[in-house]
Amino acid sequence: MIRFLDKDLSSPLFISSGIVAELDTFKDLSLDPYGFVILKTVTLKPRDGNPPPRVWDGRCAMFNSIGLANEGLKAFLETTLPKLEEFPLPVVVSISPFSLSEVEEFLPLFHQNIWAIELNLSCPNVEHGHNRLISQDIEFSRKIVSKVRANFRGKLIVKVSPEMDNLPALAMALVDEGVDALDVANTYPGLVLDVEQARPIFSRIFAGVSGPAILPLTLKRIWEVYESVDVPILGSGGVLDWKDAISMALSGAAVVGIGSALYRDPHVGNNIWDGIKEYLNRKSLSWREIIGLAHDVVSQ
Amino acid sequence: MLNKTLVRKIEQKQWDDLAWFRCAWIGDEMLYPKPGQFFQVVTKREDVFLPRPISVFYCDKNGIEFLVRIRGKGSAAMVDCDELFLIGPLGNWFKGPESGRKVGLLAGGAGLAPLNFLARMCLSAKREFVVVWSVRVGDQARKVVSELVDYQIEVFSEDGTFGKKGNGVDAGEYILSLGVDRLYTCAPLAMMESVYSMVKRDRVKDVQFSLEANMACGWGACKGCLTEFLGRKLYVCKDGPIVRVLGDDKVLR
Repeated sequence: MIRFLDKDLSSPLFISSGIVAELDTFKDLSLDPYGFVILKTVTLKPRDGNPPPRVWDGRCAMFNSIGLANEGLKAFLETTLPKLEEFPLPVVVSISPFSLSEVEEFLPLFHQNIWAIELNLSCPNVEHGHNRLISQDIEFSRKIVSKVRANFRGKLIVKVSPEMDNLPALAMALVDEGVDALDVANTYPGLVLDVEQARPIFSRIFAGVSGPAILPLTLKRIWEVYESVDVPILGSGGVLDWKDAISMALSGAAVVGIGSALYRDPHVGNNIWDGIKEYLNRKSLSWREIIGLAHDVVSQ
Repeated sequence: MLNKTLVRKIEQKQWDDLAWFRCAWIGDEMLYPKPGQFFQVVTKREDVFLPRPISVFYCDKNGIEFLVRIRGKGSAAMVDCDELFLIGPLGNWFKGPESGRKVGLLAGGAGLAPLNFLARMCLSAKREFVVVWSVRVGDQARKVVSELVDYQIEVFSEDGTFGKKGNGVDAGEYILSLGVDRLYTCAPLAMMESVYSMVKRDRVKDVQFSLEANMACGWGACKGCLTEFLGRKLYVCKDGPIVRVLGDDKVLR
C-alpha cells in the first residue's frame, strides 16, 4: 500500500494525463497495476485540437501535437464528472485555464468533491501569448496557482514543463503558493521534418516528444526538483520498463506515470508493476524507502 | 480489454517495396478479425517506438497474413523481424455483402489487403463479386496476383506492364461501368475521393471506404488519428477505419 496525498493507493504507478482521452476508454486496459489515473486536460472551452498529422514516430520516441482536444468544462461537468464515482480507481482531474479570468470560470469544478486537480501549465501544443508555455513564466504561474489554491480545497498538483531556465526556482515558487505535489514533467518541445518535402511534419512546427528517449532528461529534472522542495513528485516522461520506474523513484519520484509506453503495449503496466515488486522484494525495501534513495548515496 | 498476441512469421515474400507475410499463432491463441479490421503491429525493436496500423490480408485458424508497402522504418522493421506483437483486432469492419447484390471491390496499391480478406470471405460464402486493382507498377502486381490471388481480379497499371493501362480513376470508372450497386474500396485518399464523386454521379447506393491514418494507440485513447474525409472530421481508429456512405449521402460509421 502506498500513501500519496492522503490516499492509500494499491500501486505507485499512474496513467499520465492525455494518454487516454476519454473515461470510457480506460475499460480497454487492465487497471490492476495502477494506483490512480490522471484524466486528459480539460479546458474552459471545447477544443478540436490541431490539424493532422497529430502523432509521429521518432527514434525511441513519439511526437504528438494533439493540441488539448477535449470536450470543454461544461460537458466535462455534465457528462464525465458524474461517472467518476463509479470509476475503479482514484482520479485526478487535469485542467488548463489559459488566464486568471478563466480560473474563475472553473469555480463550479473547484466546488466539487474531487480528490486532486492537476494544473497543466505545460502543454507544448497550444499558444500562450508571448510565452509558449505558462510554466515558463514563473510570475504568471504563481498567480494562476494562487488563485486556484484559494478556491480549491482538494489536493493541488502542478504539471510543469521540462523546458525551463530554472526549474527549481519554479518549483519553489509553486510550493510557496501551496501546491501539494509537482508533476515533473511534460513532453519536450521537439522538431521532426519531412526531408523529401523539406518541411516540418507538424503544422505547428514543434511537437511534444515523449517515450524512452526522454527518460534521462526527465530523471535529471526529478533529481533537481527533489533537491529543491519537499512536496512529493509525480514522475512523468519516458518510462518503458520496471527499471525506468525504479530509476524515477530513486531520483525522487513518489509515484510514477506511465504514458506513451501504453501505446506500444497496453499491458505494459502489469510488467512494470511485477518488476517493481520483484525488485523491492529482492532488496528487502519498501517503495517508500527507495523514493530519493540515490540522493542519500551521493551525499554520503 | 485489449488483446496483445505474439505471432511468428512462417513465410514471407517481397516484390520490391511490397511485402507479404504469413504468421502462425503461437500456442492456443487465435484471433478472429473481420475483413476491414486492423491490428497495431509492434516489433521488438525499440527504435521503432509506435505500433503501425496494418489491415488484415487474410486470417484463419492456421495463421494471419499481411500485405505491407515498405515506406519507412516501421514497415521495414516488420519485414525484418521474425516475431510480431499484434494489438487488436481494432476498428469496425466491412458490412455485408448480402446475397443478391452486385458487389464491387476496388483497391489501390497496398489497399488490396482488406479487400483480399473480404474477397476470400465472399468466395466461401458463395457471393458474386468483382475485384479491380489499381497499381503503379504492373510487373509487381503480376507477381502478387500469380502468387497470392485465387479469384478473378482485373488490374489497371499506370505503366501498362500488366492488365489494362490506366490509373485509379480509370479503375473506378471501369468497376462502376459493370453496374455494381455496392462498392467496397481501400486506396490512397485522393483515389477514394475521386471514386466518391463517381459513385455520387452514378447513384451507387452503398459504398464502404477503408481509411488509414497515422496513429499512436489505435483504440481511441490518443486522439491522434484525426482525418478529414468527404468534408467530415473523424478519428480513423474508432469511427473507422470503414466509413460507409449510403445513397442519401448519409455517412454511417
